[in-house]
Amino acid sequence: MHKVLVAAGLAVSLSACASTYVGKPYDRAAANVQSIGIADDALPEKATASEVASVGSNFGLVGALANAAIQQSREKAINDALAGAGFDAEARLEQRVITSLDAQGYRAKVEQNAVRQKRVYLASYNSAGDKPDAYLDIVVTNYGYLSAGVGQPWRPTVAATVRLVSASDSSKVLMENQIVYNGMYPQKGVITLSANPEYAFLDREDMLADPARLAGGIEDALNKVADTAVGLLR
Amino acid sequence: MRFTLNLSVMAAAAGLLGACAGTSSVAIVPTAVVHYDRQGCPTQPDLGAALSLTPEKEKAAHTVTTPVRAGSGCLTWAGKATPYVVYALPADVEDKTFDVGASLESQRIFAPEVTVLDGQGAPTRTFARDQFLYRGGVYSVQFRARPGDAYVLVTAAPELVGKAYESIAIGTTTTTAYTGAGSASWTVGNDSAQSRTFSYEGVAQVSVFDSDTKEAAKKPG
Repeated sequence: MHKVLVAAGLAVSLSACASTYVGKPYDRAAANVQSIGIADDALPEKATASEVASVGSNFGLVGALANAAIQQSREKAINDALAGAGFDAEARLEQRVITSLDAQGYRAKVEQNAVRQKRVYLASYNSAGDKPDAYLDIVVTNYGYLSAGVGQPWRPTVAATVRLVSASDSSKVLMENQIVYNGMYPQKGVITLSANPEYAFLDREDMLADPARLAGGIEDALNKVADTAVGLLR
Repeated sequence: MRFTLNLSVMAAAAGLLGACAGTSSVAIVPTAVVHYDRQGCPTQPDLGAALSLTPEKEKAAHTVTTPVRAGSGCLTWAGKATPYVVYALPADVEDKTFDVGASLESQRIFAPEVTVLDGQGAPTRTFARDQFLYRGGVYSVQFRARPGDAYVLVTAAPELVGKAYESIAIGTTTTTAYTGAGSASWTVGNDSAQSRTFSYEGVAQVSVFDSDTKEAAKKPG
């Protein structure tokens, strides 16, 4: 006789054991920063479109291979749609950061740097013209759309690390933090932004049906990440 | 026998997860308390009753959670009655980052207002509402202490009480079926709307992160 036992949800809280991320809060009064150079190349070249608990992910290696092919096809379609809508994520993010910094009384401009080889902070920073007091380095490690699994809605997602570095001493980090918009499981210590319910898509076809809205969802998420990053510099 | 073994494994796993998450089984889910009508509250916090934020020995992360109830200490702050908790900062604050706010409960969040005080209880710093952020399971403000800072006061923010924090939680759930022939797992995605209400009652939480836990050993004497 077979005895059957079903255990559900054991994986749900595993992330609770993870150690806490500790950011570095900014002290504006002590930092004396008036002008900020924004490091460019903040975003990856392409948006992602990941379905976490896909059908394929439940069928071992063969399923994983099929899943990778489906994801690749989906991401190409998404990026084609975003390009067709004339959406430039990098430019939108940079403009939002400049506007937000300006609203907080900083002088800000984007500085051209070498292309990032990896999605990590730059080792050194360049400036054209007058050297700013500090560099704001926003590294978006992932952006795009995310679905928790089959039948679940697709929502924008962004993950970023941000830091402000003294221009006179690049080893002097004035602020550092991690920000996640609509991530899987809140991570201890990481700034957690919930998804905007206005931007939810049923499936791939729904996402591709309205490229302007598709882009609008990502722009909305990037704006919230940019505003949060700059808000850390109050 | 097999059934018993599986049950044991599950019980152990559930216990481990519970320990990781720091939770225990609670029969009644606390809901938000949106009215607070204590009268005659003092205008100064009782610094003598401040809870210590100094761990017994230096460690990288030290968290103090404090239930805040309507019957807890009360204070007249900014002209309004509020429950409060006051914490004493460690003596050596230079290498420490403070994260002060409230834990997210399933249906409510204590509505925190945070004020840093000097040794005499006078405010040295307050934080605007948009400086509070959700960091995992905590709604908090983060800061480094400045010279002269000695206490941190956590009160309720009346203008925040009663407001809702709406969020969307996504994750996965794995179901494992055990049979005499083996086991199989299946993972599905979850996407659910959550709503929590800011409250006069809840759980205040302070974490102290120490970037130099060897400091005590380095100090002479």
